[in-house]
Amino acid sequence: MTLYALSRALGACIPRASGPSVDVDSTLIIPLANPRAHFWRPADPTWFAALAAAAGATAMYIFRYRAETLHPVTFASMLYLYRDSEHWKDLRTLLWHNY
Amino acid sequence: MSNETWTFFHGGTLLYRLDSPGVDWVRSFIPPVAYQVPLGCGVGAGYSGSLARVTVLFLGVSPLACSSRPWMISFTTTFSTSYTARATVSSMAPSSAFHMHWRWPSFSGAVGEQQASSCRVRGSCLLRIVHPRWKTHWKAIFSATKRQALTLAKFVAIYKFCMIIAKRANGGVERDLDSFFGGSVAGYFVFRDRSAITEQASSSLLLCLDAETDPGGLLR
Repeated sequence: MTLYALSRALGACIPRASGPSVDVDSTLIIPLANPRAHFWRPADPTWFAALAAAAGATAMYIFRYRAETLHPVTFASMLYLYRDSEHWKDLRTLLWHNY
Repeated sequence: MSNETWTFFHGGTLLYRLDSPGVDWVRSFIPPVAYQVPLGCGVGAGYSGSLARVTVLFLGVSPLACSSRPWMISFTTTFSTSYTARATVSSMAPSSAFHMHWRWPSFSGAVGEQQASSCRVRGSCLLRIVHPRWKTHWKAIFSATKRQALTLAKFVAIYKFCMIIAKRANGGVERDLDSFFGGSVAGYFVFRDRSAITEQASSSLLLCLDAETDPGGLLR
């Protein structure tokens, strides 16, 4: 939950389109037809793309040179995707089982 | 009660309204009463009008809970009932004169979409929002899984392609920042369009960074 909240908070720091701020105490009383249109201001596409590129770049760099700091689950999946999947000797090791 | 409104909140998924005829429900949307109940629970209420208008608004933010997952709404009445289908309702099939069980496959709207129907109700009416059909449920799960797998496959393919190009450009020797370059290109082309899937993927990548800043795992 901490990591989830942290990622959401970081994502909320992206610059967004201009719009009115939300008074949570007053808007919670009246359900609106489309709350995303009222409550939510989408991230600026350029900044979101920059965040996506930075996140992907940093994750791949960490996996390549500081893999010991990654979470074991993330490390295992990335190990399969970026290393194990590059080696095979027959159809079985290509489609089903690691070489 | 001649006019009643129910509001269902389950992670902000569904909003339901029952109106008497002639009411401009868009303008008079502010409900007199809003009940917050878990999705799937039954809510009973008396309705003495001759024609009820039913409107369902999809408010959810989760792709599985809303955009691709139709909900079934079960109406149970205690008196004989007739009904008329309007608008986008595609099929309604009463199981008996005293017990109606409607299926509305068209209620698979996107976020913020409104769908409406009308029915005649005499006597009391019990409204219940039940879980979606299993076939639709698994279809939605399969669709989301397939989309996520294809997104990940695109990321991996672009990353490896960039790594090969960068390595060949340097005479077959890999440099330190090649993986950084490949990851940025792949991340830009795959995750730049904001959607539920890419946002989730970006969050996962951010979690990777969190793990990097917390190598001991004390935050978890």
